[in-house]
Amino acid sequence: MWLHRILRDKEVTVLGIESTAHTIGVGIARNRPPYILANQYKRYTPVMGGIHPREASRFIAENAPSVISAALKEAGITMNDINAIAVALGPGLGPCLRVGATVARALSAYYEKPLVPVNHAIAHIEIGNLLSGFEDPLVIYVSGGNTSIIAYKDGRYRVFGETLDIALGNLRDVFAREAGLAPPYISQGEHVVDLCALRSREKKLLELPYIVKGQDVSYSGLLTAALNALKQGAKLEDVCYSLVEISFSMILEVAERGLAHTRKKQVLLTGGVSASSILDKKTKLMAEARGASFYNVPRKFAGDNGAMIAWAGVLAYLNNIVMEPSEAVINQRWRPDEVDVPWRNQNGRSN
Amino acid sequence: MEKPKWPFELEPLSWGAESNLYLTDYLGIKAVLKHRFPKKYMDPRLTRRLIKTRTIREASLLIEARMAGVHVPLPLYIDSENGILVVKYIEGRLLRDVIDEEPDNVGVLACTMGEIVKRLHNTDIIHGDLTTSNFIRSKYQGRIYLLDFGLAFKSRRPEDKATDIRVLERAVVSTHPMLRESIMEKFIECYTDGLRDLDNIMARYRKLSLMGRYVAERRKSLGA
Ligand SMILES: Nc1ncnc2c1ncn2[C@@H]1O[C@H](COP(=O)(O)OP(=O)(O)OP(=O)(O)O)[C@@H](O)[C@H]1O
Ligand SMILES: Nc1ncnc2c1ncn2[C@@H]1O[C@H](COP(=O)(O)OP(=O)(O)OP(=O)(O)O)[C@@H](O)[C@H]1O
Ligand SMILES: [Mg+2]
Repeated sequence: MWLHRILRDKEVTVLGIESTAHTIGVGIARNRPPYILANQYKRYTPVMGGIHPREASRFIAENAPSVISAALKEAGITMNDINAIAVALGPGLGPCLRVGATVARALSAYYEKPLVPVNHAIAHIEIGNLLSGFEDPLVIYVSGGNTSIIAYKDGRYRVFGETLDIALGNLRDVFAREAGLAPPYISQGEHVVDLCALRSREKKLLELPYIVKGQDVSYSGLLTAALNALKQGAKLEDVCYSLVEISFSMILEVAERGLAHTRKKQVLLTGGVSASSILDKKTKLMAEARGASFYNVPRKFAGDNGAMIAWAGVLAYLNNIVMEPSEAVINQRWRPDEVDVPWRNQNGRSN
Repeated sequence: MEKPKWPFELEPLSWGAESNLYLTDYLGIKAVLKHRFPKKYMDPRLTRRLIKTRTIREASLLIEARMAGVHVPLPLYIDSENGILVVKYIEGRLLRDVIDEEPDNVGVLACTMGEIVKRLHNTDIIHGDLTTSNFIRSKYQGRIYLLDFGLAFKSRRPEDKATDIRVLERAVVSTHPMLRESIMEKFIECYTDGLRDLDNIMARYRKLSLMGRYVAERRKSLGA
């Protein structure tokens, strides 16, 4: 198994910083069990409306120092024990990314630790691989800002399918807000749109747009149509039920197609939306029908977090992927398929 | 996996994402039966609705594409309630495999794909699932056939045509990552030659295109 190769490498400890959107996360990871030594975060929740990048970035700047200290404390180590600083340089919101990059550059320069660039989406995948023990899964990554089906092939994570417009989490959050169900978006660990759907007695299935184009999905038409149905007097619970059924079926249909085409035998579900128990059940059914095993990444490692940046940082650092602080430039649209992942390659490991 | 209701012999051919395919004999013609089955992870009404509309649409667009001069398997029988569509069997090899086996032919194959998609788009048919597994090279005349109109629809919008090309590019990137440029370049060259509404379609395509992005990651040796 690939973890064995990592265990043979020299021991390294990496501190990772995540600030791509609403969360300032700091994690510490090491290529020795228990692998994740710390995972601290603070999440910015707007009182009203969606994320305001400026306010979120100020929140991140104000909270970064305390989250860093909390992570070191949790791991029971000091900066001297850290070999490198990893930071998520994208994809994400510019103002938020910039704060994380600034903090990472400062730590790197001051403590003279190498800086390791990490792609946020790849970090989501790698922590999923670590926790599941999967070698080569088909990844369903669904969050507030991302909706993609990803699989490894020839040295990189390839995006097999994705949303052509808004993300699944965004669809659910905006609908919840406009329909007066949120904030708060989460109640007793479940999203309010899921809870609303479960309240639907008749489970009436409205004719809302189901849009799959090849391996891609489109959610913006579904959002507009669902809000229109509400305006025209459809029962809120029925709209929720239809929205949940249709939106989950769409992404699972393209995931299933991805499984059939890539012939992978493992399914990894991650991103903030993976916490939905309705989606968890449906994904499991899909994987079972294809004879694939299934793992849903636990909430604290599935939503944005620093541990995943630290862990991806360990993998990259062991492969000499480092940069000068002056080179650490953010990239709001950094796609996972632009990044070489040499640690996935069986033969090409360098030491 | 449930078998379709069909009075003749069935021999499993492939287990697709959306449907199971069987070889069968219909009116003495060697044929393929495509059976769309309900998905357990979907609401039963939703999965039935999708099966019915896709089966009907696939049959009617196969006929339209054929009239536009595109080689497609001829539809022979349809039972949309049970998700059954029977089409003529094309004996041959999938372009996905041909491309990997005959790298020298990549240019010619990509060009033929371009010409086929141009014909479709000139009659406002959007295929919806262009991949190298949905083209097949017939064993006999070496003709290239286009399969699987399950996600096809009619539209004259340039963005839908551009998306069709992007879907193909995505498939090429994931199935033939090393050949992406040689395939897409030749494909576009032959696709655009005689394409109606060319400028609008290509303008949209460029916006959607994933090609030629800046690769931000830098690798550097740690030094000893
Ligand atoms: N318990 C839950 N059940 C269902 N959905 C949830 C739950 N908790 C959070 N979510 C959804 O997850 C999304 C947030 O995901 P995440 O924490 O990964 O942040 P993000 O910034 O959207 O992520 P990324 O930067 O990876 O796109 C929101 O859409 C939110 O509604
Ligand atoms: N008429 C035909 N003649 C020969 N082979 C065929 C024919 N139709 C389908 N096939 C074979 O079956 C496979 C799947 O067919 P098709 O694409 O129509 O089904 P599907 O369920 O949409 O599959 P997928 O989701 O994988 O595209 C094709 O790739 C091809 O190998
Ligand atoms: Mg197909």
